[in-house]
Amino acid sequence: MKKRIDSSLVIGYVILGLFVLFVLIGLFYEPYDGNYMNLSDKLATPSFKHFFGCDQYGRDIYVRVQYGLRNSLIIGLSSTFFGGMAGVIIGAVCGYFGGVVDAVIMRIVDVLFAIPSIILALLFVSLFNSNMFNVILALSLAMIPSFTKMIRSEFHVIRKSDYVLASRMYGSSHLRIIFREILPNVYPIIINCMFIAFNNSILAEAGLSYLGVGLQPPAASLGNMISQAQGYLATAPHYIIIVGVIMIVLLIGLGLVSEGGSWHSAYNRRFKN
Amino acid sequence: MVKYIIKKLIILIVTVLAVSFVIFMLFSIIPSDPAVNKLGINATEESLAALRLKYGLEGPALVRYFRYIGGVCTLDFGKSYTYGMKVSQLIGERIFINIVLSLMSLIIVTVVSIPVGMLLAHVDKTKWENFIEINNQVVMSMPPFLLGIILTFIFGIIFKFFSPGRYIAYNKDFWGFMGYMICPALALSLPKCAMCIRLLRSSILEEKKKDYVKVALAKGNSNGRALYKHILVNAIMPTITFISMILADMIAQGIVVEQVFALPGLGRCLLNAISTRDYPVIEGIILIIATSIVVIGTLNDIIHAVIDPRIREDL
Amino acid sequence: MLTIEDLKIEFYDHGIKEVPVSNVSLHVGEGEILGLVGESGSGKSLSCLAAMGLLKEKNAVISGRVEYAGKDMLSCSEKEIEDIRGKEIGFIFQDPNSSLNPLIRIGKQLEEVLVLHDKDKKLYPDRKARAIEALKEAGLSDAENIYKMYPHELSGGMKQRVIIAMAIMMEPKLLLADEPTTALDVTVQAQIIELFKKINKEKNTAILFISHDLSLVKVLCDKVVVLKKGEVVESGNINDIYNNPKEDYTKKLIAAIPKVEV
Repeated sequence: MKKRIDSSLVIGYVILGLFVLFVLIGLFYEPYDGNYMNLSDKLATPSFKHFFGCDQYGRDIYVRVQYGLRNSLIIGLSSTFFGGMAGVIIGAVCGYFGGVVDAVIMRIVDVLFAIPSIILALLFVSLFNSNMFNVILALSLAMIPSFTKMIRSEFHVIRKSDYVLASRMYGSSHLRIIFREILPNVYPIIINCMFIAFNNSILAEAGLSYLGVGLQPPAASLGNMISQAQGYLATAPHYIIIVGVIMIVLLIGLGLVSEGGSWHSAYNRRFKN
Repeated sequence: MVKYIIKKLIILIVTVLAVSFVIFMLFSIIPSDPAVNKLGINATEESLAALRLKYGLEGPALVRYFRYIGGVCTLDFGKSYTYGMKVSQLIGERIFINIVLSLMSLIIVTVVSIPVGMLLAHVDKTKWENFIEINNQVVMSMPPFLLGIILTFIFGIIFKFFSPGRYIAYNKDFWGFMGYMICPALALSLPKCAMCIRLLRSSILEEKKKDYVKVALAKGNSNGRALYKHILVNAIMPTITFISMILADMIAQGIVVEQVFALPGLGRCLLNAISTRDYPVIEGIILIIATSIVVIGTLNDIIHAVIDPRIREDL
Repeated sequence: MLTIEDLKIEFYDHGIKEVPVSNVSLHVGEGEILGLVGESGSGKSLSCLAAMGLLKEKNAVISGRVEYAGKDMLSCSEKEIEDIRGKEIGFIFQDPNSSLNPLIRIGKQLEEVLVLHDKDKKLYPDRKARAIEALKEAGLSDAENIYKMYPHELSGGMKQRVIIAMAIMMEPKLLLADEPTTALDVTVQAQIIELFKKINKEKNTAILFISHDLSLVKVLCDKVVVLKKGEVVESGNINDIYNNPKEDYTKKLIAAIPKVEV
């Protein structure tokens, strides 16, 4: 078999790389203070002075987008990391040991599955306060069930395999089997899930901010910028176009990376159980 | 078959009860007293007690839960703190919008993606493939609320098919109302169509490789007949599951899309209730959404059992 | 009846040419059982699929001549070839477990052959009766029940009999059996071979039996064609070749048959 490089995967990584670069540049150099309001530049169109123009308070959109992307990346990465970790551990324990604990946890997961993650996050953020920590916590919580379900079904299959049995006979401890024998085999699935979860959490964060319950102004977020820009749809279309295009390109990049050929198989696994 | 359905229905009821329990308990443990919220911290103990009695807030949480769930069985979700009216009435006035929105999106997804998916699997030309793939990827990556804004921009501001921000009540002008639902439904369903087309196409191509298709052709079936008599039934199974997942997602996303088009549905009601801490309303709406999602899952299972004899048997 | 001459199949994959079948010629006469032997990858199944127009790969180029009952199979229309498949030529494939549509009842799958080839019920006015009869001919005594069952309720051997029943529904003149016993265990294998013999004797059906197992071919076939890397290396009467192989390759195939010391 000839090894062919998946072009969509490469494009996806390039797009994500550019975004990360863009955010990193912002850490070292920003032409303006993103929170500085210069009312004389209100809704200014893109120019050499302001690459992306200005918003309704005269703040530079280029810098605001950089802020927003940075917040999105922080929220997305940390919620994926924490939620994913928790989900993988719970799923691994349930799938490997089975029994009563497994049955109880899976029922709880079923219940959580019935509440859409955006509503769960909405509820959580609104019951407590809307700040970055709570948004991350809410999104992490919301993604635990899907990770748990996925990893559990994988562990359920693999724990019955011969090589796990062989390892048991050599006297390996359960922990060793879980982490050294089984986990490396589900690694590709975990990575794939992580990308999908990352994609979802960026989407969910944008949705929450759009609804006004995510990051609170003046903190910038793609979601609340879109919500603001919607009010100037007719008078300053450049605002929504720039933020919208950036958001779509980011999501395309994520989509390409997370799907890269294995989309069908990933969903297939999800259906079976 | 009947046994299977009964079993699924029992699981459905148990799950819904569990969901209601979790939601109810969540609101019981948060350290916030609605009576104090409403009357202020300077209120007398008697007036607070009276208000608690009015809203059914006295007694231990478990007792209150059973009273609540007893009420829910008769469609009584309690009383709203802020509006003072029954939650069921509040929901009843708004839910129609969400039902229409979800059903319309579901119809669009089914009507568009099944024929297109079949066609693309049948044509299977490499040149088209890339073009469609790119298109699909773009549409798929579009968050519904952003797509909603784009649609508002195109059809509302450029073509002036409707005026953004306006809404026609369904009991005033039904067809006008339906017209105003088209754009939100499109915003919800287009990304899902793209996903669904892709899934159906790839599962048709997957099924095509299987031996029974070779046998069907060897029997003298034409390619077209083999596709719709043999492959499609098998390929549609994951698609049905996917559509049920999509429907659940569209119900949730509908809440965001409602805001884009300023529709006075459950979403706006939920957001208002959240900002005023109107717990009975929040509980009621979430319970309704969760129940509908569990029902969709059960329906999906039952449809599968009807089509696939293998599922019917492993009970 | 079926003549294949100089069949050649080429695949083009991103500019790279592959020739899995380079030169295959064979002839199946009326009522004859011909064995087509060769190790896996020698192009046995591929040649037959190509000859029947069942090769679906987009980038395959097929050349040579395939003639069935005076008709050129490679150049005739899709419609004509569909009429031959299932009616004049029955097919039996390797894996019975995946050869039946899992969602359709056995009876309906059998009757589909009649729906396709006996549209106005001229030959078989009662389709169900014909289906049950065919199941019985294929050695399934419990035919009435099996008619109502789904594929997953049957064992591998039973499924293969169902597929044989499906192949003989229209009483074809030729059966094309592509490793029909490979996925089955040995006792069932022997029964299926017996069934082929019976069908051949009673209906005078010609059989093209594809196998990698020379011992099975020896039990069943009259003539044999030996294939190596897409080319015919030897052909003739089964006993001549078995007792007196000329090519080294054939000798190796014979040597590979496990001997039972008594």
